[in-house]
Amino acid sequence: MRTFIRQNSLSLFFGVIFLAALVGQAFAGHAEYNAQLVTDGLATVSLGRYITSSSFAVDVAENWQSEYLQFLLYILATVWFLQRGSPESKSLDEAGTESDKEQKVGRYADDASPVAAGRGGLPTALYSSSLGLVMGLIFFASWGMQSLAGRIAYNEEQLAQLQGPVSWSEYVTSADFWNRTLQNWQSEFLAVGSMAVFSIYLRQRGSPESKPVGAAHTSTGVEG
Amino acid sequence: MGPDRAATAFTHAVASSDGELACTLLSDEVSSTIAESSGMPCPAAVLQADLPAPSAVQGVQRYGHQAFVTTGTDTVFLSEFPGGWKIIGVGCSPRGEKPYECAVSGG
Repeated sequence: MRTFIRQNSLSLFFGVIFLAALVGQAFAGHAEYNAQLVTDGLATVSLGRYITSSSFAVDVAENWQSEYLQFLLYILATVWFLQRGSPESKSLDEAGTESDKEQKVGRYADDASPVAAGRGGLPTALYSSSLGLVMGLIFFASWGMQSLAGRIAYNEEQLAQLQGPVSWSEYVTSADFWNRTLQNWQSEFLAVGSMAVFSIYLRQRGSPESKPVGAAHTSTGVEG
Repeated sequence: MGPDRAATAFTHAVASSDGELACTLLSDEVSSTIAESSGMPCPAAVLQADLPAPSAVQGVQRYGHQAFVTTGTDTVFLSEFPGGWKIIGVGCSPRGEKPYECAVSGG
């Protein structure tokens, strides 16, 4: 058991802090939601009704979509784009999808390779892009959920203010939808871009996201 | 009672001069607002309001705890309270991007 925990501590750690943050968001969001209802002279709701509401769903989904978009773009952009001196980049002569031999696919797959890597054809093609495909699917699903839940939450606020509801097509071209979307995107793009650049000159001893402390600023694609 | 039935019950109560019943279908904030602004108790004040005649419900849109009911002659805004659906705006007309102007509301 202790070995399992140690060997999976990274995913377990993030799983635990994800749940803790989600619970915290539920309590804080519930308090804010009820405060607005009181201001509008409307009935407050229980925590249970809040966490099944569109208001909670849109707040969760808008952050999920931007996080999955961030990592999707990072996964795809780092295939082709390079950053001299960054451990986040491949070596400067490795841009692209690389050879079958380097990627251990088809006849170059070895005994330890996943079955789909050695099968060839569509299974290998799909498996070769499976990380991006799944991240992309979660991104589009979350963004879609944001648009559906966001419209209901937006209309709920509209009606409480004696304003008319909007259709889905009106909502996805509205300022509310794009403000929620772009305010998340800009912060994700800034964070990931700045990490790629900071890691050229700065170090975090022991982290695979950093170069070794003594590595040259010019060395690229070297992880510590 | 759903939002459409609450809206219909209200307009019929007003049409039959049953101010007591009509006021039970208004939110607390709306009933106290019209009483304060008119200087009369709610049951009397609601019968003085310039409300359209009853008409069949044409559409109901519900979003969370809020609802928007349109009839042949009116637009009604409702909110869900522990005691059921209550009216927060009735006798309402659109004003473009601004909130609807309602003959009876809490604003």
